[in-house]
Amino acid sequence: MSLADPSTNALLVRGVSRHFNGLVAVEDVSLTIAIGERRAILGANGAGKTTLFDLIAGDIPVSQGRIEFHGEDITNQSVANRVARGLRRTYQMARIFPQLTVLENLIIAIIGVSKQHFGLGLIGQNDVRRQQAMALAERIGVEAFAELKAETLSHGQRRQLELAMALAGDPKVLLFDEPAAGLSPLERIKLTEVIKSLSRDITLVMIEHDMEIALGVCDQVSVLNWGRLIAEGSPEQISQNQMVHDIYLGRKQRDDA
Amino acid sequence: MSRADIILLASVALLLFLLPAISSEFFISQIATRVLILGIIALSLAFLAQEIGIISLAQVMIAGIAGYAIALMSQNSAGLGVEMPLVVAVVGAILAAGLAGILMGIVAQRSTGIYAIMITLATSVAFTLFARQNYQIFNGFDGLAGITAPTLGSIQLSETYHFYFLCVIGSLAVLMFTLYLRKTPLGLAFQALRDDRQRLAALGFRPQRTVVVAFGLVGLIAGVGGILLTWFNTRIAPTSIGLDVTLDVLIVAIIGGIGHPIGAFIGALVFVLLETFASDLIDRDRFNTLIGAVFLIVILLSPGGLIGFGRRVVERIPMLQTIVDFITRTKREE
Amino acid sequence: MTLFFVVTLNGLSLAALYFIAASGFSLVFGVMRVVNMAHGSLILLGAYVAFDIAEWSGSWVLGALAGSLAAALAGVLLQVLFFNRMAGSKDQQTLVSIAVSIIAADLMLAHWGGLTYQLNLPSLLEGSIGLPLLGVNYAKIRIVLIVAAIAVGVGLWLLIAKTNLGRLIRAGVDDQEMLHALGFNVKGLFIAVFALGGALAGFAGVVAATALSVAPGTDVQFLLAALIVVIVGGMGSIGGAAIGAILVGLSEQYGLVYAPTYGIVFTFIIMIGVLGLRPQGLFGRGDVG
Ligand SMILES: Nc1ncnc2c1ncn2[C@@H]1O[C@H](COP(=O)(O)OP(=O)(O)OP(=O)(O)O)[C@@H](O)[C@H]1O
Ligand SMILES: [Mg+2]
Repeated sequence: MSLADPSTNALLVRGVSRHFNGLVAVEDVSLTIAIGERRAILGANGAGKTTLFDLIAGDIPVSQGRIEFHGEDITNQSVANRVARGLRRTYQMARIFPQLTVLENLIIAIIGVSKQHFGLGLIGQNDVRRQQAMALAERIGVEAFAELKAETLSHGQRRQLELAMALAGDPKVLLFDEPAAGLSPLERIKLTEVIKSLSRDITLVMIEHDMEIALGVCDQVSVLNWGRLIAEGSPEQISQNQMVHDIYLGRKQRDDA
Repeated sequence: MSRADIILLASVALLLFLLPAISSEFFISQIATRVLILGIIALSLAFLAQEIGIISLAQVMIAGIAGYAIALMSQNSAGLGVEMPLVVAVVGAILAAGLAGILMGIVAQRSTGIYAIMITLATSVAFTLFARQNYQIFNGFDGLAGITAPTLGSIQLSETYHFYFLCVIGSLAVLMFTLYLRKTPLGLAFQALRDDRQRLAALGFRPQRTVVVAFGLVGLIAGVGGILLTWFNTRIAPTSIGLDVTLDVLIVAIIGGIGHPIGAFIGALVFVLLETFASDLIDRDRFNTLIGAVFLIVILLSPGGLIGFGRRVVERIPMLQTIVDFITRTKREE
Repeated sequence: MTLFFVVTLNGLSLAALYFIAASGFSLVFGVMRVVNMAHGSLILLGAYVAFDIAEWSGSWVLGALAGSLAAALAGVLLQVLFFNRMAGSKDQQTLVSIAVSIIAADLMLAHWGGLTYQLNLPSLLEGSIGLPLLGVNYAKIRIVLIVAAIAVGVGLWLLIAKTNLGRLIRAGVDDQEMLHALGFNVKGLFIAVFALGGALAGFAGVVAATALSVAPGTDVQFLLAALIVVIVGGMGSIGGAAIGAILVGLSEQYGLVYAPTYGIVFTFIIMIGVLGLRPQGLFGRGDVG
């Protein structure tokens, strides 16, 4: 598989930068991510990982650079257009709709990727959307809470719910922002299973501090530091990279303190 | 609609239809009818606040637009407009309100919170001033008078009891509409939008369009209220939609509580009762002080309004809670 | 041509009045993110009190001081009694201020009745002066009004540019904990801001009662003007309030002369136009909502 061939690229990020009033959050980052690839994004706190996701998803505009999705320029496309093309994301702090039930959260995700944003038909007990939502809930393991308000969920459950929402419809590229953070060991195993079970038509880009998960499921790793891409390679290469080690060891110590 | 809602609606409907049998004509025409009309208009405000989290002070203006529309499409004292068949006039007036709602929504689509309050208020006051100065369409300060509820076959809708039943039907219709809407894709999108607008966009929605549609739908509700109001008063004028009326409707919605559509009608009941019997309590001229104080107390002590207060009372008193649980659960198991 | 200039001057003097009315409203919002819908009531209160005291003492200056002071006190009361207790919910604060404005309007009606009040001009400001190039006489008070607005604007600008309080406003610190961490007496600061905002409202009332006249309904009229001015100019921005006031004042006066029926429509179209392009107003920060 040649990474240079544009027809096989799920995401192409070219020289993307983002500044916040002089603060450089992302600086001249380029990524080439092939269809079906599992890519981990690593980096210390504040390295710019989440901002990079914001840029790819269209939640904030780029200051500079170009983003292509399956060969199409999406740099100036609306978020809705990107979602319609198959781009999905989760947030570092899981963002769900607290006043809706778990099932309704999933139904709204399914409606979002359908053409029925203004649908006026009743969503009955046997509605296909409800069944799809239930299937998603089961897949992620939150079906037991289906009828509860999402605000009652634990931290880890919210994260799982949000992940399930990202799987609604027919996703092509998934951006997961620290999906394992705050999950119990059991939930982590479930998460790893879910990720491993994803179809290889789906491309996954994942920010993750849990090395076991990040290096366990990903084929390629990109490392950000102070907004810049400083290393890229296979998990083996990256785990032996001295610079990455330093940054991560530094981070670990900060976290422990 | 949940089981609990169906039971609630059925009891309300029963009560409203039986009311004439147990109350005076004065109560029906001066209290019950006014409560229903005020409730419908307040519901359009409360529903928007409840479902998409935006307080619109333009709802009375929108009701007024329906009022002017029905007046212009009926026989009126000023001889303005064109008389239309009843169906055309009614449907046209409701659609005019829906369109006004959509336009208001387009203006306010990017605004939330206090900004939305300010913009809708400014729009509404500007419209009223405009209507007061325009004589070609709105007949200026005097407005349009002589608009009576129509006669359907042999039923004279302007007659007290007939008009009351018309208002009952209108109220039940908008109540059912709002309760139904909650269980549709659009209704879900409204609630999600209220929780987190940007998140909804990240799911593929265009939240601003959803906001515009919401304004359009509550415009329809306000339109129903506006037509009934105009028939009730037999006139529509800038004073019918002035700032004081807008604030009255806001007070009604907030006092009732925006947790459930029925709250608007409860708020309207409290308001009309206070208005009617205030003179027994305090100087008739100081009604605004009284209602303002009630409003203030409700906001400070029970932000959820009377509905929220009722809920808390039920939760505090185990027996009531058991009864409520019993009614709703046994029905759910059928 | 002369007409055009006179109308422009009229527009600017109206803008001056609107600016003074909107500045206190915008200031309070800028610091505390409170939309004080009772601002119009403070304006009317200032005017009424000024009238009473001026009648009693025979001095416009004393009346003006008393009017501003009364409104400042009322502003402080609002903060201490209500806003202070519900720092969290902005919508709730707005609703409370609406409730207060309803009650205040009614109580003021009870006390001062439905009459129209006008403050007598201090003799210094009576009469008119010849405008050099135009060869027309123009009421002194209107010129003074423009000067007063500029003074208020410059004063606020100095406050914002040169003082700690100003630094906060510019930084947009509306987070109480943050303020506390920076070593501010938060309560005192907020009370001071409300006092200043109230005083500006009271002064606006004095000016309105002197240059025009006031009556029940003046509160709503000026609240609406302040709302539109800050929606157009941007909440919390003094420069924005100035630009907004000029736009609204001019459009109202041009409208009055050139299209009498539809003056309000011009103002409104400006508001809609600005909102379409910049929901946060011309000079507002990005955080709409
Ligand atoms: N909206 C914003 N406004 C201003 N600065 C921002 C904004 N968003 C991010 N930043 C800054 O950009 C830098 C990168 O932040 P980002 O959240 O992308 O880092 P991250 O790699 O995801 O860190 P973490 O591991 O803590 O999640 C940080 O310095 C952050 O403070
Ligand atoms: Mg991050």
